[in-house]
Amino acid sequence: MPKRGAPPLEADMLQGTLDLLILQTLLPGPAHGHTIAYVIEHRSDEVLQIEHGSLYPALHRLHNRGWISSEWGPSENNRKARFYRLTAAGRKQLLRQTSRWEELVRAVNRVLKPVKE
Amino acid sequence: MSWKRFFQRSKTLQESASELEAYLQAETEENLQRGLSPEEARRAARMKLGNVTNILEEISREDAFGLLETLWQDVRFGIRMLLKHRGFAIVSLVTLALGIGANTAIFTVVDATLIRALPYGNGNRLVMAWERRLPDGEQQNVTSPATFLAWQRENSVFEQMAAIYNDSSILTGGDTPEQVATASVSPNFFAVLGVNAAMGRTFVASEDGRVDSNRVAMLSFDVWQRRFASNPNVLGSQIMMDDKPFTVVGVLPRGFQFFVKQGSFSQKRPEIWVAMNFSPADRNRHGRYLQSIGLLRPGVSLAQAQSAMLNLASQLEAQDPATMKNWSVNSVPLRSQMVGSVAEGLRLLLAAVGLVLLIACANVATLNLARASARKHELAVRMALGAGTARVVRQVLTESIVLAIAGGLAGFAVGLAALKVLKSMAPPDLVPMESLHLDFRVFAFAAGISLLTGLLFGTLPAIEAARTAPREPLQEGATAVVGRERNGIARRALVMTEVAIALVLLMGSGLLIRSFQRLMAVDPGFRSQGLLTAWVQFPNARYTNDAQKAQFFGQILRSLRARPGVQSASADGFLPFAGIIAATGVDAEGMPKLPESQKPVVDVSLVEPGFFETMGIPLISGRTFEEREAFAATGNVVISQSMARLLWPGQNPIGKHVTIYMKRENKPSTVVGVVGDVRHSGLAATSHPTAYWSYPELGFPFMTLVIRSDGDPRRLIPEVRQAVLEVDKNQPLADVVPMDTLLSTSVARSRFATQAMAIFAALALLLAVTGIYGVVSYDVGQRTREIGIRMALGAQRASVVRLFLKKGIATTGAGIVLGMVASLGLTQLLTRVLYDTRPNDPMIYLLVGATIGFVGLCAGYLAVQRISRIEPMRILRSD
Repeated sequence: MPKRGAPPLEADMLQGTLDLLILQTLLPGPAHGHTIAYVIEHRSDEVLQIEHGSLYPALHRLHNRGWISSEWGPSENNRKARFYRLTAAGRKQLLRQTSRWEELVRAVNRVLKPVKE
Repeated sequence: MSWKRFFQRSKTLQESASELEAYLQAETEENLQRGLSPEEARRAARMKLGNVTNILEEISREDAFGLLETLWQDVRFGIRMLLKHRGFAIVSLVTLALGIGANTAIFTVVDATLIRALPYGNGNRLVMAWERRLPDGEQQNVTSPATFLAWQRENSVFEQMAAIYNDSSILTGGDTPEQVATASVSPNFFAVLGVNAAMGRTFVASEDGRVDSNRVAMLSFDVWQRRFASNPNVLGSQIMMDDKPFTVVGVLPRGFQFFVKQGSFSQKRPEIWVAMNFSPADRNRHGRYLQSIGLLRPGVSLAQAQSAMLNLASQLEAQDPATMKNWSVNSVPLRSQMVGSVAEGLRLLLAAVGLVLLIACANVATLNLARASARKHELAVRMALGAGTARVVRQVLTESIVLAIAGGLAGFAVGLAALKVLKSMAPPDLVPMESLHLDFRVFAFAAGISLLTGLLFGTLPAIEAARTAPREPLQEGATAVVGRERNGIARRALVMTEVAIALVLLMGSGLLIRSFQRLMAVDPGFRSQGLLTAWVQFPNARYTNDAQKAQFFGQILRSLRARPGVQSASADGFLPFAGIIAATGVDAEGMPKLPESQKPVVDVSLVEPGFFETMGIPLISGRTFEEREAFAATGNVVISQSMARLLWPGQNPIGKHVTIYMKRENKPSTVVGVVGDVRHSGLAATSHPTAYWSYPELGFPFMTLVIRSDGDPRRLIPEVRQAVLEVDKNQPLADVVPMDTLLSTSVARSRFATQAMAIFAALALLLAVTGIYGVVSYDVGQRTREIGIRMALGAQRASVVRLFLKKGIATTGAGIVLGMVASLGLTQLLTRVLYDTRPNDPMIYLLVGATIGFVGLCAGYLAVQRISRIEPMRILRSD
């Protein structure tokens, strides 16, 4: 649940950002959709709320691009679930996007915090 | 997306659905653990997931990404962007449309005239054989039956040779008698061309060419439709031409025509073809009136044919030096013959319109470059938000393609319209205009070039931007003041080139206009205003003796002169600006008598009394013909000034004698008057020495009436018809034309070339000006911040304006200099089409340079007007 006082950000506001977050979540190991959403929400202190309506299409997109692979398997409570795994291409893409993101953040920060007067 | 995935779509969807179901179950279970009731747990899970159908749709949309749907998305986005940047879109569109349209239209004409095969089976092996008159350099003189038959018999290079004589006959038998253009051809003519009859047969040498053959005729498709109502029974029937019966043996294919203007007696496209057969007397005649065409033997080149014919000519000269000395032979491929001087003009127009296309391309390139650097920022933002490089480039590409397709369609429309204008503008003898259709190959070529330019200059910068994005452009906010953009130089170079090309075209157009003015200022030797002309030809058999013929024309003239509105009326055998004139050798009193082929040559015509007065040809000395000389051959002759100079330089020619060899028996004629020179065959032509006999001397079956009216000559047309019909109700009147029209038709080609060139030059100027405007206004737009800061720091608006204007002027100036240098060489190409105008006329250079400079300055000035709308404070606050 979102914290009070801090309105939740919709992570799909930036399409590329959601992709980046999903890839990052899959870095330690395979996970299914529910877990991915849960992890992103918790890691961001629930500032980033994952809209499931965009999570699944995003997974599908990454899958189509060959950045993640999927397989069906039993979930923690022994249900059938689709597990996603980062591929080698996905790993490369993650590195590339991360560094680009950092550049962007630095750039935006420079704009937001000009040289001290 | 691969095709496999496309077909496995339903399977993928099922998987996604079960994945979502799995999610719902997991969430429900979690909610159950939190202590919710089963229904509530399920409901909450559903609410968290949202609309399953929507999600599935979203997923399948992800699948479709990559092909059609992204494309459609891109197209829509592209159109939105273009609508947003209307200025850019409209200018690009107009540029593309004009460039593509003009090229398509002109190239269609060029293709039909210069490139497409002649519409005859043997098109490429057909060669016209002319005699060449050495003394006065006439390159394409008609030949005589004797010479033609000798060529036909003794040449070694042509499979066959045929002779042609264009005439005009009166076709009777219908409701109204009609004057039709005819051609008398040797029976093998259609075999030489390689043309078959659409119905019936063509002429056959063994049947139709003999002295005792029946008279036979072939109809053109048009005449068959118009005059014979497409009746197939016309085959084998008899038609009456010039009061003689002809048997129709065939109808020619639709669209067939064969007309060589040079040396044609009627100067009209033949509509009925009759088989020529020489009588034994004809076979030895040396009077020249035949055109001749040969079919080269396979493998024989034009050069071989020409040298073989030259050999033959010298043999013939050795056999009969009296008639053949000073005559040579000239072989001209039929295509060159038909295209003639048109080729040069058309090539010029083609070059001009190609240059227009070049400018159009440069303009599209400039626009795209400007736009690409303007949208660097936009692209950077989109890429920062996760759009892939390929995706961004593809978007830009789609936009360029949308624009190019729209431009292509507009170009097609412009091409159609331009072709219509060309058809109405071009002189009828320029190209077979009725058979012109928009050429799709050419359209594809022009459109392709423009497309390519758009794509190249639209996409390269996009790729460049995509590579550097997003860091650089996003920082631009901070650096724009000192930022340089590299494309500036490329754009300036392009605009400079545009200006240079436009200048070259303007120069060409200026020269042509100057030359046309000079041509129109030429005095033809008579006053054309208020003159009406009417060609009258009666069947040879109708009036048998000379008195009847003289009476026929005498009565018509008497009737005309009595009518209101007619100041004076007369007639001429060979009217100036209406075609050919007879020419022959003469012996002058006081000069040694030379052999026939070495005598001085003069033009000869027959006139009725009052001719010189009606035409406004000045009388220099002596007198003109009197009324009595219209009815009796008196042996008097009126000569032109140049003939007087030729025969009796520095002497008084009145009363002198000259023998003009045109009759069976030639007696010396007495010079009674000298009149001014007339340019018979065109304003640009020189005037030939001319002798005028009174009508009865030769009694032609044809004359051209000339009537001077005291108002608009057209008003007299019904009067003329009436006057002729009163004398003979079976006498049709073919061409009733004001003299001014003849004059204007004679310069139609020059006028056409001048007009077309002027249009292209104006187009080029317009496009170049757009380029100048674009580049300056873009500069201003890019540097709005800089300008704002400068002005905030106290710079005067005027000085900022000057700064930007200076750049525009520099670009324009460089273009002008480049264009001038190029013109020095390129205008030389015009030398041969210019009349009395030097290609390096400094006045034209000055005028054109000043025009472009001024217009360029105006464009620049309009563009910097934006500066006055810049408010420094607003710009500073916006940061």
